[in-house]
Amino acid sequence: MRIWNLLHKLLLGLILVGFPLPIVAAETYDENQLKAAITYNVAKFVKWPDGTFVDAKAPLVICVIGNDRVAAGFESLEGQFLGERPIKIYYLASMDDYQGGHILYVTHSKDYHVDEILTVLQDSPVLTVSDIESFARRGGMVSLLKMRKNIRFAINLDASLSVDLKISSKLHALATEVIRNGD
Amino acid sequence: MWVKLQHPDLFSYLSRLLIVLCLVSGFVTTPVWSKGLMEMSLEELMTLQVTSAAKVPTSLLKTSAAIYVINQEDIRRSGANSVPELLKMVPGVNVAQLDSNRWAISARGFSGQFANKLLVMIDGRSVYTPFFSGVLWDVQDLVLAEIDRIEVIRGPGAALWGANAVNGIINIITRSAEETVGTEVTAWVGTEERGGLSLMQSSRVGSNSYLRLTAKGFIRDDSQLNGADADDDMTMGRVGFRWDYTGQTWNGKTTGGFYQGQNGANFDLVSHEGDYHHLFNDDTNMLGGHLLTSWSRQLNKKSSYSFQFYFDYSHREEALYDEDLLVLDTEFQHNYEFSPGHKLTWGGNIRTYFDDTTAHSHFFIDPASDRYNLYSAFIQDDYALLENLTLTLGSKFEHNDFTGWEVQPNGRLLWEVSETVSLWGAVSRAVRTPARYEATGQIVVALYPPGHDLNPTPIPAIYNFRGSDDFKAEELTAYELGLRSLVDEKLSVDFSIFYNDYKKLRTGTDPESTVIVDALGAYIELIGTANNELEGSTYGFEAAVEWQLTDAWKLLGSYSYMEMNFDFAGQLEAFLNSFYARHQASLQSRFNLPHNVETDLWLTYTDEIAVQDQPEIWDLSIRFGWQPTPQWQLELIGQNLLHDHKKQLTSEVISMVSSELERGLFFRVNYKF
Repeated sequence: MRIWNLLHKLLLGLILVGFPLPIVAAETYDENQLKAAITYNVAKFVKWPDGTFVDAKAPLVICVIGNDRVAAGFESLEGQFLGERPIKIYYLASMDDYQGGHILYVTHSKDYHVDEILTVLQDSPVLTVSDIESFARRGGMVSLLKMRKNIRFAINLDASLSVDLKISSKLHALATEVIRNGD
Repeated sequence: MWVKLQHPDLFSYLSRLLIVLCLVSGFVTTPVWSKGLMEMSLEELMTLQVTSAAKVPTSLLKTSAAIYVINQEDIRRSGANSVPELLKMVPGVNVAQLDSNRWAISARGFSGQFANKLLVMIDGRSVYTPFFSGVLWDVQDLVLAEIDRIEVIRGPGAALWGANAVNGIINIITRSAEETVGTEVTAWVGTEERGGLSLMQSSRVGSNSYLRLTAKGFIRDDSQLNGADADDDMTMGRVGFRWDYTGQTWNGKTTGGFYQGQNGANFDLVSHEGDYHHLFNDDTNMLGGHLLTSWSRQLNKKSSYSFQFYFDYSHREEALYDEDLLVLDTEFQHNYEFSPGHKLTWGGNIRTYFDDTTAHSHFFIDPASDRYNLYSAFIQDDYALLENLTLTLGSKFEHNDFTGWEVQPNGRLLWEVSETVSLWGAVSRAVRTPARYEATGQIVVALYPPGHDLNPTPIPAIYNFRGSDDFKAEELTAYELGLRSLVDEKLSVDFSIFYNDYKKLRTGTDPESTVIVDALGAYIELIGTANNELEGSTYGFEAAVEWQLTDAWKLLGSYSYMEMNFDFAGQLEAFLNSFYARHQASLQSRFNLPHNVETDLWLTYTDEIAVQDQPEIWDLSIRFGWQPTPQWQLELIGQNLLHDHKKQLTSEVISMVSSELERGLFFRVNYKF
């Protein structure tokens, strides 16, 4: 059959010119789930001001703003716990829907709303995280950065300290970039 | 074109072995999820590699239809410069270019310039013309960068979409203006794609609203006819906008567009004069526009509803006829989860067509101007029988002015075998309601010169097809089965089989013949009147595979096979209904080189179309892309590379002359800021 002939000639041709054949493929992960998992892990290194939670079992509220595919990654966090705290996730279309929370994740579709979102949260002890690269430089606390195939992050300590959020120094060591005292 | 090796058997054996090895290794390497993401430490997470989503996202695993999705990446890397070209990658969809501006596109057989069993929608707006129930592809265009995805469903979708969604549905969906904030400019220049410019600019215009403006203009070079230029070049300009609003209670999208263009086209006005043929070239002028607005509201977690309204105007001046068409359409839909496990969707639609035609030659329609309505209601319930077994039952009840009420039910069953495998099956009924010319028109279809098999007389015979008030809707009962699987993160496969049972298909009565003598001589006028006497079945198999071989190399393949089982009453009947390719295939290789260089090959195969002596066609396009910075993209694209010039299909109507498409090369640059 001609299709078969052509297929095998094409494939063999490609192999001959040096295309590697992957007999065993490297394991990769869904980018959006990974971003959610990193956000969850970063939260482990954050201490909220006293009185933020009623008790040790009070839920940790994560708000995800933006309706793109990144938000879908957070579904994997539903039903999880951070220590003893159950995680609650709210998906917001805009800040009009915001009714408080401990972490706010800004998806990259909200790039043009960043200033507005951060203004609303100006004095609230809310950990702000985003996959918008410039987020930390623009006053957000944690930017997730895609570097080649890995996800890394940058943190802005000025932003977190201004609302009394304490980010552990262990996290400073893992960050690709740490912004403090304005640079 | 291939280097001849000395031991073809060995060559063939080795490569088959390699292919089998590759396939087997692809199937057996299941991902080792030794640890879930949630159990990993931050350090571990930072070492993980991410993948871009596979072609079969989870949502497709929950779809009980033969669906194929063309996404942004597919559009960019295909090198295609228009929507019809993209559809060649979809299994089961036949795409043939008749000249530089006319296309024949259909799914699961019954192709032709006036193919009438496919429904095409752009952002919820139906773009088929009720004139012949088909699509004028030359005016269906967009700035490619504004397309989010093209969903192609083979098989009936009439229970949701209504009459004419018989053999397939093409849904072109544009991106929200919020997603395209910024400016994007694309320009191209080349031998066939002579030159063009498209602009897209989106910005925020209010606290919850975004606006996108688009403009596009291009010139496409003519093809070849009888060794000379075919003069079928095309010039087109269009502007459009999309406004998206995300409010507290209402979400809305409003789109509008306007286009104007001119095509060259070749015609053959057959008559009893001279050698019976009169070839000539004429310009077709097109102009049109639309305005659509759609609003949805989420009442609570279980209930949402939406309204949509649009009008669409088109004006076309062609050699055989002029046509003005205005469409007004209003739609309502309500989604409601009325009890756990039941997802109910119901809605209604009213559409009115106003047309005005002027027949010039070889075409006649009476009344010249008419108004007709279409109104419908549909209801569908998705019911989770078990946790992973979903039954979908639904029907459309549609009234049209030609045949009255039509009921189009379907039943679908989806079994999500695991998180990566789903099986589905469907039984559905769909109808194709009469087109305007089938009810009230007449058109010259064929010419039999003296000596032709069908003409024993010494004078020419001209065959006319005449519409009839008694013409009924064509009916299809379709049986489908499908399997979809994310074999692993690197490999996804999609298979479907179908058996289509057609009843009451359009054909003509035995022609009445009249000998007509005038100053130019004598001829026989044959008139066949539309009836619904044809029936038969088709069956086939379709497969699509997407395989990320390495981080840098991806292969996408599709293959389809189909057969027709009809007892044709004559040569003409067989000719008009048998435009299909038994085998069709497409193979795309997308390879990333260092420094953001991309090399993409796309090979397509279409089997011969026996009834019109159209030989099989192999074709190839190649794309080299380079992104020197994130803002710039430069591309060099070659299309129809395997032939200097090649005819792809002959029109079913003798007066429409197809030409030969030429090899083309163009350079395209894209700048985003």
